[in-house]
Amino acid sequence: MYILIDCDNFFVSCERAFQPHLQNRAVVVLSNNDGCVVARSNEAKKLGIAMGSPYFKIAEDLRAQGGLALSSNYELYADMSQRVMNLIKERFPNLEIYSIDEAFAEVKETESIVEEALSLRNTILQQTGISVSIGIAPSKTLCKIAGERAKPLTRDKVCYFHNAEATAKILSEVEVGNVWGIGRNLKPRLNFLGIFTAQDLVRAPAGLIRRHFGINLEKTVMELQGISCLAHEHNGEQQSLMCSRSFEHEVQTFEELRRILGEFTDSACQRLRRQGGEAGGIIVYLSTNRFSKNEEFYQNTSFIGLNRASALTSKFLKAMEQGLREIYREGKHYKRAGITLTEIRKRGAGQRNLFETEADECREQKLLQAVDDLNEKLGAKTIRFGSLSQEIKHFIRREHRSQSYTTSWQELLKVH
Amino acid sequence: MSFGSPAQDFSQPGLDLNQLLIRHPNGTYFVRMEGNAMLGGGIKDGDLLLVDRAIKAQSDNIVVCTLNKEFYVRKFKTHQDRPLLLAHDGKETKRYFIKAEDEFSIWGVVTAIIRPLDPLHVHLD
Repeated sequence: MYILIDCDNFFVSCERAFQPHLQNRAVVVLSNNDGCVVARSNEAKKLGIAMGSPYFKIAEDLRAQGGLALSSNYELYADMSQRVMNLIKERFPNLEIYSIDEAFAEVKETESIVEEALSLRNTILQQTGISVSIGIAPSKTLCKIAGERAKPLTRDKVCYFHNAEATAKILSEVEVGNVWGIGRNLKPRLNFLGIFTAQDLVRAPAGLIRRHFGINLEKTVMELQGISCLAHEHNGEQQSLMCSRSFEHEVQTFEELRRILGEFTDSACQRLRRQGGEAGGIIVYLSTNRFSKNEEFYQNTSFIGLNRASALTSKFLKAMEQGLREIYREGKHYKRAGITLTEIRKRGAGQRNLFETEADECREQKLLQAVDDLNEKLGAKTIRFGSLSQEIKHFIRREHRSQSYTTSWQELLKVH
Repeated sequence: MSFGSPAQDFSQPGLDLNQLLIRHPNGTYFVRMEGNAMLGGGIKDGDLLLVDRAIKAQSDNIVVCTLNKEFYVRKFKTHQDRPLLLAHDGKETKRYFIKAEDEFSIWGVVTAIIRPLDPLHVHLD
C-alpha cells in the first residue's frame, strides 16, 4: 500500500505561515528573476491566473483584485520542506521524497490507515502551518489520482482507494491524459484507439497496449489495476542534480558563460558529495530569449559522459567546458543557461577505469573534502576553483522576496 | 607506545543546547521580540524566543499569537471559557478579551528566552 502526501500550494503556504496578512487573498509566487508564476493560492487560481503566466501579463489584474506577488524564497521553502518530510518520516519511515512538496510512503494496509493519515495531516498543519492532501492506494499511480481527489476537499483531505468498484467509477471520470506518466503526445494516439479515460485504459487488451506503446505504458496500466510495479526509492536521493538560471542581463561571451556555468557545476558537485553520490555525466544547456523580437530563438543541449562516475569538481568543470564549446554560438544573446549532473548513484558502486589509479582518486577526494569542510566552517566560497568567478554579476532578481525566517538570524520573524 | 587517557572510555559528545531547549525540532521556530510589552514576563526588546508549535497552549502559557493579522507575544489565559491576552510592560498589566469579530489564533507556545550577555556592555539599571 502506498500513501502520497502532497503539500497544498506549497510555496504560498510557506509564506502564509509567517505572514498572516496573506490569508484569504490572491497570492502568487514568481520564478527566479520574477519572470512567471510558479505557485498560486486558491484565491489566485479562482482569478484564472494560470501556472507559468508571465508576471507582466497578470500584474495589473492581480493588484486590482487586492492580490500580491512574491519573489521565490527558496531558503524558506527548503527549510519548511525539510520539516514536513521529517514529520512524515516520524510516522512513515519508509519514505521516498518525490519533490520539494511531495512524498510517497510505503505502508502496511491496516484498518486505521485513514485515521493515521488524518492525524499526520493535523500534525503537519499545526507544526508548520502547511495543509497537505493525502492519497492512499495500492499503487503510486493510483495514489496520484487519489491525491487529486483529496485536494478540493475543504477538510480531512484524505482519499483512500480501497474498494475496486468505487475505484473503477472514479477512473472512468479521469481523462487518460491526466494519468501520471502519460505524456501529452501519447494522449491523441490513445484517443485514436478509443481510449479516453483511465478506466478505458484499464480495460484495454494488454497485447494491444504492449504492441502499440511498449512496456512503460503497460506498467502504468498495471498500476491503475492496483498492481504496484514502480520501484520505491527509499532513500530520497536525487537521480539528477540541476542548476540553471535565467539572467537579468543577457550574456554573450564564452568566457562569461564558462564562469557562470562553472559556479553552477561547483555548487551541484558540492550537493552531490553531500549526498554521498557520484555522477556519470553532465548536460549543458543554453538558450536565448524566446520572446526576443531582434533575434531568432536558439537553444541547444550537449551531453558529456565521463569515463567513470565521479564526484570531483575538476572533472565536471572540464566536461562542462567541452559541452559548452559544442553548443556555444558567437554573437547570440543568452538569456538562460544551466547544467545537470546525470546518472547519479551511490559513491563507489561502479567499476573502476583501468587507467586511473586508486591513489590519484584518494588524493583528489581528500582535497575536495578539505575544501568542502573549510567552506562549511568559514562560509560558502572561501576556497574556490581557479576557473570560478570572483564576483557573479548576475544577481538573481528577487524584488518581492520575504525574509528567510527560519535560516537567518538577521531575518527572524518579529513579534511584539 | 603511548598510554591511552584513563578518561577515554568516558568521553561523551559535548552538551548540546538544542537538545536541552528544543523538544520538537520540526515544529520549533526562533523569533525576535520587538518592544517591551512583556517586560513583566521577563522578555526584553531584542530577545530571541523559542516557539514550539507542537504544544497546545494552556491557560497561563506565554504564547505567540496572531491577532487581526499581527504577531504578538502575550500571556494566554482562559477566563470563564473566554480567551484573554495579558501584557505587562513592567509597570502595569493590560488585559485584552478576544472578541467574536477578532481574527485570532495561537501560533505557538514560547518555551525559552535566549539573551546573550555581552560582558563589556552590561547595563545594570
